[in-house]
Amino acid sequence: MDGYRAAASLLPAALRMAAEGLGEDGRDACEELRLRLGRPMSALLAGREYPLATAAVTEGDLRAVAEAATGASLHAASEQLRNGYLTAPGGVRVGVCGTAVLGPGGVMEGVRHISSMSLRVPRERPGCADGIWPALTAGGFRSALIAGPPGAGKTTLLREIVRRLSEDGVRVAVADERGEIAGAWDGAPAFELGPCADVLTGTPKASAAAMLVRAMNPQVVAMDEIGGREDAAALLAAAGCGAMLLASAHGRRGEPLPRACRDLLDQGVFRRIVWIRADAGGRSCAVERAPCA
Amino acid sequence: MRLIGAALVTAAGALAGLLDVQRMRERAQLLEELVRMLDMIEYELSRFRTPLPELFGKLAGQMEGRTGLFCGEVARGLERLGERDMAGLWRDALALLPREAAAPLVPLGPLLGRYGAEELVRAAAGCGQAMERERDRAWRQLRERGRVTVGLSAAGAAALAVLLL
Repeated sequence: MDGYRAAASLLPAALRMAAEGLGEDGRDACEELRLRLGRPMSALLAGREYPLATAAVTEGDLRAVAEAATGASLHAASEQLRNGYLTAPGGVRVGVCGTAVLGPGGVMEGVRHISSMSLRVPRERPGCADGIWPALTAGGFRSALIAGPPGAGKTTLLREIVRRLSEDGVRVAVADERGEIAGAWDGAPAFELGPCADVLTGTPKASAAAMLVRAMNPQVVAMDEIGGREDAAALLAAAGCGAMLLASAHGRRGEPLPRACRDLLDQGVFRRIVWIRADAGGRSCAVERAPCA
Repeated sequence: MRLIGAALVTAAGALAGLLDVQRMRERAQLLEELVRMLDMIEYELSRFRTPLPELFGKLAGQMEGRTGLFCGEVARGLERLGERDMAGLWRDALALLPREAAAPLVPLGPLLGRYGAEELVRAAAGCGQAMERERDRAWRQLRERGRVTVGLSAAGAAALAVLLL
């Protein structure tokens, strides 16, 4: 099942029909399906939202999506919901907004009265790393950071690099906190990651990286969207154990990267940076040596 | 010939009574199995927060008779989520159970899939208590009325046979 169909399959019948009405080019370019209570469902295409239906999204629609995304098991997804998202079959990440339920110490425990949802369309694009592969592996694969703006395809590129490394016989351990890289559901990955990839899903990245290094003897540790200092510390520890790193982070060329990435770059952990540029003209990738490499 | 006929009528009456008792026993056994199912739901949700497809798949294999069929129907329904909501597929599955056995399970349908584990555990416990009351009533009814039913049926049939003679 392709990513768009996987996302649309979570919708109740009327909205699913509206989503299926989008043309093939639109489906291919669609980044997210967005649902807001009392507003028509829309599709996010190249950074802009376009309405897909005329009927307003109801509370029942949002509840149905939550049910479909969790297999009617919201109780089993409370950890994810605490972070504001649900991971659905096929690697679809469902962002959730509504009234936060706060627990002791003001920590968010979940979301009641869901008011908005964004269904992130996962992509699998075999060959999308072909253009950068020679530069990325010149002299052997070295730790690399993939940087790009939101929606540029960082996860898609990271997944493809994992697959290619894995097919080249490199043991890659994937810390897939939100289940977006492998799209694992009930333990089975929805996306092809090659024969030598081991995936740990649902655990915070920092602890997952430590577990993977201890348990799976990886040659490369991969994780998506590093941001916090704990992520940086975990990657540093993994690098200290001799593993290469592959990670992605939000960032635009010419603008400062998140602090955690800068720290890792300063310490010479990443040897290469893959910049993804996405604008109206399309997407492009370029590999450059990291400043301290 | 008349005597044989009378004996047959009496035997038929006794048999009807026995069948009635058998129905009462089956009902009590079904309620017993449903109590066991609710206990397991409560345990799995509180200890492991087991997702419902996994939970009902497991229960379908472990429960007997109509309870097993009910759990299997819920598990199959969960594969069609999106076409049908949880409350709807729960109602569909309840149709496999006799009305009085299904009644204590009705309140669980609108809650499954929508609330956190604590709320579901409380709801399952509430349903479990209601089901236990039904079960206790069914066993008591069987004890108190079982033999009387067979006796009365046989006696009634015998009286009919005497009248016919």
